[in-house]
Amino acid sequence: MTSVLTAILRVPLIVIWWILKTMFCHEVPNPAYYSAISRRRSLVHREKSRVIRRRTSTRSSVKGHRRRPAAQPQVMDVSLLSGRRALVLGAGAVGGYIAYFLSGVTGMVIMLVDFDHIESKNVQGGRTIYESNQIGMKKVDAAKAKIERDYPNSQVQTYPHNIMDFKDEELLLLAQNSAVVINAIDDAKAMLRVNTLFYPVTEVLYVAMHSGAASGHIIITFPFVSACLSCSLRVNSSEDIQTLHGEPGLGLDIRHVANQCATIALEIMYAKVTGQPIERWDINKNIFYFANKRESLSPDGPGVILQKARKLPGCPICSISPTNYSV
Amino acid sequence: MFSASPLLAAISPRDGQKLARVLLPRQEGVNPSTPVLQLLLGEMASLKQQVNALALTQASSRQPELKYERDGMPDEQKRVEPKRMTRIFD
Repeated sequence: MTSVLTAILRVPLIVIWWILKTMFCHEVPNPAYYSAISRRRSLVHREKSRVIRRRTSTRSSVKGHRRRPAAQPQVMDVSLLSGRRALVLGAGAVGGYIAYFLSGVTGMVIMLVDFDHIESKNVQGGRTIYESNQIGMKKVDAAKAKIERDYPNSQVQTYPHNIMDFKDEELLLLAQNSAVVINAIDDAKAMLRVNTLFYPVTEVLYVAMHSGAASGHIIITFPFVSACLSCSLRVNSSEDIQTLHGEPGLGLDIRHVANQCATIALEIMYAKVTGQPIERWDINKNIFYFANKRESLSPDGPGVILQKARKLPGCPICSISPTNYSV
Repeated sequence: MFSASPLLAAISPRDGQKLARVLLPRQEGVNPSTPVLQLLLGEMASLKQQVNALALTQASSRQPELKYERDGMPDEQKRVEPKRMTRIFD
């Protein structure tokens, strides 16, 4: 009875949400995407109880009891993403590769934001997508030239500005026009500003490398669902995040994390466009930690650790409910 | 410690005869039940005493045992400390 009433009450809310989204957001995600997230949670819960029932009962050993056949893996039709927009903040080592990988797969529109220029250290050891004849150019212009040369179907829109120089309205407009946002900048203040502004608006992937590129991480924030960046990193201010300058690292390790980030971004965009649930990983877990070599967390060698960040009680960003949120 | 005398007292002569028929081939005119049983129980008692003595000597010099072997056990749930992810570069 309660579930029927809940379903009936949900209908006008969905209609209102859809109208508001259509009015204010150009990249309207398929509503089935959000229902897929909640459905996925209930599916995981149902699967757990089914496993427990199977362990405690003898039903599976009875002759004639047929198990449900395994679902066939679905192949992603990336042509559906052609022309969609992705906002990439930062065109350094990781951000440049993410933009390059995304363009190569789908022919989508990349909105690239970075104010920096290419130096000689940026083109050594294959750490970036840039070439030695591009030294002195703005990173966004160099990336645009390279991507549109290698993938003529793709398009790069450049924004050679610092994130901190944008107005809030301008940044929100960029986010609302894109299907996914990838934050590949290492400036702590800019990261936290992006977190505050974009958390309720769209999905954001925060990607970064750690000391010596021995490991890296991707933190995903789903609006109102997952913990925000501050809660995931357990930081209170920008002083709790330290930026490493001139850090050495193997280009292939950086490229590995960038590749994973591009794949995750693609999966999220595909789910938003088609309404299909995300099957690649357990979306309750929003932190990917990549160990590029053996360490205490991955003692046998390179590996990935996924975990779920919890919202801190009273967090002004992710503890608010969608009904209390206003732009 | 093990002692054979209560056992010997507990076994009736009739039981001894039954046991002797099983253990030894039947011989006419001979009733071997009592000496055979006594012999067997005496052997058992001495063996038991030797085992007890050996166990006592080894127990005094034995190292304390671990509750389980660490190798081969499933790994504990690994948690990434958030502090690991706060020193970054791109």
